[in-house]
Amino acid sequence: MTGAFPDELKVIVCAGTGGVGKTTVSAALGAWLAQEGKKTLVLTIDPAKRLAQAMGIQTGADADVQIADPRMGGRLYATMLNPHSVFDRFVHRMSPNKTVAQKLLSNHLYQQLVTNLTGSQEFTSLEKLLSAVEDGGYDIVILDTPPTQNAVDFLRAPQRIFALFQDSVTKWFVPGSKKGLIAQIVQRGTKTVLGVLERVTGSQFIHELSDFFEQMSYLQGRVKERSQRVHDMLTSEKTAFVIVTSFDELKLQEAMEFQQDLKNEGYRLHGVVVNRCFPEWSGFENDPSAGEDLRREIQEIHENFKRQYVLRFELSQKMQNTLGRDIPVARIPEMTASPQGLDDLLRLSAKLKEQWKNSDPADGGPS
Amino acid sequence: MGIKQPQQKIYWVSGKGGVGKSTVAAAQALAFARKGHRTLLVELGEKSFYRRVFDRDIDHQPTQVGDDFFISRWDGEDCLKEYLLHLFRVEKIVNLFFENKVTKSLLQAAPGLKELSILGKITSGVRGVGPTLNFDRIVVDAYSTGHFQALIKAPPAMAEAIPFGPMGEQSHSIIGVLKDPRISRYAVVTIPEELPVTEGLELAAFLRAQDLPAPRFILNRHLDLPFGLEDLQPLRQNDFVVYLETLLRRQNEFESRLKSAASPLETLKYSWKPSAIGRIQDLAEAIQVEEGT
Repeated sequence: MTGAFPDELKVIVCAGTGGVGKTTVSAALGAWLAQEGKKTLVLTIDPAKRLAQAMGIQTGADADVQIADPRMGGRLYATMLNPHSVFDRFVHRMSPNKTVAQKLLSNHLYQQLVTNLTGSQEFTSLEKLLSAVEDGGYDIVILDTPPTQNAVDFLRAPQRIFALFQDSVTKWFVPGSKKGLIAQIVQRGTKTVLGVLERVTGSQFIHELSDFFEQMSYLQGRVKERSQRVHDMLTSEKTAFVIVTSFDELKLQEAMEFQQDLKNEGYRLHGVVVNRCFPEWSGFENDPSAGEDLRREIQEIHENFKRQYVLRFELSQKMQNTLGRDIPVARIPEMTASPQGLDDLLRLSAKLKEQWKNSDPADGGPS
Repeated sequence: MGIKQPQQKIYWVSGKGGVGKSTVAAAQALAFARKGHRTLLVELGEKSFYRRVFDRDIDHQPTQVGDDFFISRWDGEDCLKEYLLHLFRVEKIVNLFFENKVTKSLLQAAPGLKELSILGKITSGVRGVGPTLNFDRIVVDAYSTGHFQALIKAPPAMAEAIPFGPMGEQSHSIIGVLKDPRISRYAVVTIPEELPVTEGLELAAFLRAQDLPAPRFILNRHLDLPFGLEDLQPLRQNDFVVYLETLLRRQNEFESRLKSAASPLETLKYSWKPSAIGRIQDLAEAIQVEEGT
């Protein structure tokens, strides 16, 4: 394979803030790897309708869809994540028996939790990723991370939900936990917490909450083990992170901060994609066919674009220098329309391949 | 004790990620401030965007960045803490509650709780609850489409899950403010591209379905070119001209698509200023500022 992706790789996580083209890049990576002979799954949260159509995936459908195009040789698969079904399957899998599972699934609070956006998209994408990696039979799985304001949120969100399953939390609500002095202190604390909650929410909520946590406590052991596996998967040498950003000052700065965060947390960055770059066009000074006014107007706009280009190119260079020679930065040119079909994706993956092969900090730059 | 702010208006700004929502929201706030309205620009979440733009620390308490122009960053935990303090009045109890590991987990995972706290804070001036929010205009740089929808859905969801107690009551009064066109105004920001336009239109449909006032559409990054496609046609051998043509054609397509679905359409000219502050100032000069009720 290419320098960017070693053969042993099992997972690629495409991360970055919203609005940079993560989904498209994830799909293009999938097309590339499938062409290289790998049985590939692309997990996406929210593809554009046309892209979804091109890939044959629909909302609500839960199965991995095989992309029929012969160029993919039957090796490319795609799934649109469905938080509801991922959660439900998770509960069934983690519950010691059907009764516990049913009680939890029918709990009002649980249902709210599943439909709530905050944290559930992040949780379900990692949960589905783990399932696909362990049981799916794929050579490689690519995750298109959900759109977040802040790219690090994605990595932290699941811990918060897993935290709910910890002893310190569940034991509070499970009736009958008594252990002498410690229990006394805990009880006093519990009274305050529950007292506040009851005052603010009414006792019906407290009942729901107690019931919710009681059921959750039965899942505790397995969830703990599973969350450890998710963490191990993300920090494994077989997992590559790819930061997707765009040709924009703020996005580039965000990407630079994010790569530092990834480094700090022990995740492995394999490459950066700077999407939607515009080129440095040839000048427009001496075209005789344009009238003087028109020539001047176009020239002015050209100057404006050029100034932006220089600023952004320099930022992307700075990023490449920070990352060093081992981590390639691919600059992908803007396409005329948003990628819609497999043809567009293949064109995009060809560009990625070319860029990652040639990526060299000493190369290029404005004249 | 909360003091009701009867003249206060709240502007909610959303749109697909990457369309320049934060810049437009700041421009709107600055435009109001320039007209003499005491204005608060609110950003949501744990990390500040405006901090880098204005080179100031932006936190829970309003920071003044100009004449009549203040900025705050509100997140769920701070807002909830403030609300509970207002409810219980005894700081000790509230702190005990918040320093607790259980509470922390609950807050992070509890459905709608953070969203409700934030909405509660934003609408607190109008409802006369909590610390005084003495501003004429509040402009909220709300989340992008998906998360914004979750924000809006939180009060009705919460009202259903917890119909009783102060929480249930608050949910209903918040919904009242969101629905009142005299108080709440919505703006969907978009750019002349496929996904932003589609998502923007879907967002408008969502607001309609929630029985909220119809939003105004703002087409951002609009290239105001002094020439048309016909003028560029003979110059096609130049690659830059080809690029301009593509941009212009795409812009025209989406502009007419938006106009037919969302009339009137406000367009904001592309700003070439290299700094975010410069762009905000440019947009502030052009953006619509409603007067009267």
